[in-house]
Amino acid sequence: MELITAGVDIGSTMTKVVIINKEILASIIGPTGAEHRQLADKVMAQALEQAGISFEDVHYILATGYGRINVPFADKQMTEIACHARGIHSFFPTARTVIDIGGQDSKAIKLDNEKVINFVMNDQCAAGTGRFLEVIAEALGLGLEEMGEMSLRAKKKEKISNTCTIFAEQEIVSRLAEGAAVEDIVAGLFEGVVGRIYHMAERLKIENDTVITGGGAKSIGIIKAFEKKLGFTPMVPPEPLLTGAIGAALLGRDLAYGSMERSEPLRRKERRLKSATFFK
Amino acid sequence: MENQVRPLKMMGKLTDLVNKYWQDVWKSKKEGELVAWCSGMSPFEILRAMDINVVYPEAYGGFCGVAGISTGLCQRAEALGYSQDLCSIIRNSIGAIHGTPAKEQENLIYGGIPKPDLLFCETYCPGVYKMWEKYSRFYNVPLWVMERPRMHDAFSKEKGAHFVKEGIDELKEMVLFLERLTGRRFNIDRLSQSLVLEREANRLWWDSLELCQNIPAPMSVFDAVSHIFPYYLYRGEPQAVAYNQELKSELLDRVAQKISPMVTEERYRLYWDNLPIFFKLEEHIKKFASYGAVPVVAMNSFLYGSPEDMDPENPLESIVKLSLSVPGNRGLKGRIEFLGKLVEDYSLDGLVMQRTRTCLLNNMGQDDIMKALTEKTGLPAVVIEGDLCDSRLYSDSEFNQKIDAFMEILAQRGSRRN
Repeated sequence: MELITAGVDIGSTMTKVVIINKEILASIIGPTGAEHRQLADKVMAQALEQAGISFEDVHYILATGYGRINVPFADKQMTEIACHARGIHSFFPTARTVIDIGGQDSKAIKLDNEKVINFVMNDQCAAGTGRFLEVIAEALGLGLEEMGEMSLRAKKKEKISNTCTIFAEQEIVSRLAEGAAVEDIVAGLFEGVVGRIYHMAERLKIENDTVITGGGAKSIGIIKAFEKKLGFTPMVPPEPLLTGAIGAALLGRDLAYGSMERSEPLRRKERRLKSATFFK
Repeated sequence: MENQVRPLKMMGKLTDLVNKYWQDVWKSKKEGELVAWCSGMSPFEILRAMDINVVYPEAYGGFCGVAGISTGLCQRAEALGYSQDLCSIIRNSIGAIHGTPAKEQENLIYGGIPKPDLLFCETYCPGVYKMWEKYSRFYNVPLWVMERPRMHDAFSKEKGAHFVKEGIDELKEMVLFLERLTGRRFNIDRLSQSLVLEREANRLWWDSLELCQNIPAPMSVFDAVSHIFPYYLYRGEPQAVAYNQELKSELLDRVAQKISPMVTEERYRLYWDNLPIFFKLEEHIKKFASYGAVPVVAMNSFLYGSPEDMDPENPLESIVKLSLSVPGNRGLKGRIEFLGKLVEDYSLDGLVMQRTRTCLLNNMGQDDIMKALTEKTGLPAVVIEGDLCDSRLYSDSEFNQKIDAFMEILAQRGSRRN
C-alpha cells in the first residue's frame, strides 16, 4: 500500500503544504499573514483539491515551522530544522551543510545523511534574514528577485555597515542621497547579509556539499554572494520554499512506514480539517 | 505520564535563612556595625573573623532576577547613563543602589543593599572591579583589591607556589589595613575555626553535587543555583553546615526512592553552562521536563572550589589556594578537562550552553569550550542566548525553538544509557 502523507510548514511569512505518496501530489505556497491560525486549514483544503483526494485519504500529517502548534489537524509537530534536513537529503543525499534563509530567521544545519548532528540560528536580530531583505527591497521600491538580478550589474559594492534593519534602511537612504548607484548598494547589501550568515554557519564548519534553501535562496544575488564567500557553488533545490514541507511529509511517511514495519499502530490524532482557535 | 515538578523540602528553610541573612545585615548596619561589600570570591573569611558584616551585591542580582524586578532596575541604571551592554548583574545593583530614590529603596526586595563602609573585590571580574571603584569614590570609603591570576591549565603546587606566596603577602597586608581601620586585633585562630566550618559545609555541598550522578539525579541545576545560597551567605558559620547536612539527607532520601526534581522518567541528562536565566527559572524547568530532560550539572555549582584545597591549619594559604584553584579560574584547557570529566561522571547526553549576553567573562571562550567538548565527547550541544537579569536580551520563542530542535537531536540519538 502506498501511503499518502502531508507536510504543513507554517513559516513566519509563507505557509507551505505538500502532499506526497511516491511523488509530489500537490504543493501550495501562500502568505502566512497575521492570522495564520485561520489559514492552515484553507491551504490544506487547496492542496487536497490539487491532489484530487479527500482529507480522509491522508494517512499522516506532520506540521512544522513557527506556526506548527496551530495546526490542529496535524498528527505530529516537528521543528523545521529536522524537516529541512529530511527534505534536503531527499534532493541532495550528499549534502553535509544546509543554510536556510527564512523570513524570520536564518539557520545552518550540519547533516550526517538525513540526521541532524548540529545546528545554529541567528539570535534575536533580523539582520541576515529574509525580512531584512524585504524591508530593504521595499525601501528601494524593488522586488526581491529584481534586487538580486540588479546586484549582478554592480560596478562596486557599497558597504552597508549597520546590522540593525532599521538603521540599515536609514543608511541606504543616506547613500542614495549621496548619489550611490542602486546596483552598488544592493550588491553591498547582499555581501553584508551573506557575510553574517556565513560566519554564523562557520561555527559548524561548513562542508561541501552545501545547500542553500528558504526564501533567500530564490535571490540570485544571495547565491552569487555565497558562491564568492564559500569558494564553491552551493546547491539550490528546485523550489527552495518547499523543502521544509516536503521534509515534513517525508518524515511523516518514515514514521508511518516505521510503525507498519514494527506492526505497531500508527499514532494519529482524531482530526478534523478546521482552524485553530484559542477561545474554546 | 505527566511530569511533576517536585521542589526540595529544604526550600522553606532556604527562604527563612536568606530572609534572616538580610534582616541581620540591615540590623547590624542600623546599629552602626561595619558592612563590607564583597565580590563572590573575595577573602570574606578574614572580614568575618574581624566581625565585619559581608554583603554580596552580585548575589542581589540573582534575588532580583528570580523576583522578576531586575529588568526594571537595569533600566534605572540606564537612565543614569549606563549602557545596556554592561553586565546586567551590575546594572541591577546600580539601579537598586543609585537609580532608586532613597525613600523607595526600602520597598525593594530585602530592603535594597545597605551602603558599604568598605569594599573588597578580586580582579577576577573586571566589571565588578570597576563598579567597586565607582562606589569607593561615591561613598568615599576604602577599596581593597586582591589580585587573582588565572591558572591556565589548573592549579598545581609547583605552578602555583609563586602565586600562593604573593597571595599570602596580600592577605597579610589586608589584615594590617583592617586592623588600622577597625582598631581590632586579628585573631588567626578564629579564622582557622571558621575555615573548619567552611570546609565542612563545602564538603557536604560537594557530596550533594556528587549525589546528582545518580540516575535519576535528586537535584537539578535549577535547584542547585538556589540551594547553594546558604553556603554562599553563611560561609564559615554553623548555619551553612547545618543547612547542607539537611540538604544532603534529603537528597539521599530522594536517591533511595529514585525521585527526580522535575520528571517522572529521566530520559536525558544535560550539562548547563553558566548560571540559569534567573527570570525564567520556572518556565525552563517546565520546558525541559516536558521532554524528560534534566540539566543535572553545571560548572557554576562548583564555583567555590574544592574542600581538598582547604586546610584550616594554614588558613591564609588555604584562602589563596581556594581562590586560585576554583574551576572558573582556569583557562580553556583546564576548564575543558574539568567539564570532560563531568560528562563521564554525570552520564550526560548533551550540553546546553547558556550565553549570557552581557557577561564578557563567561562568553569569551565558551564557543571554544563547546567545540572542544563536542569533539572530545561526541555529545551534541546547543547555545541558548540569554541573560541573567535583563529580560530584554532573551526571547521565549527563540529559546523554545532551539530546545525543541535540540531535543529532536537527542531523541534521534537516544540516551547514552539505553
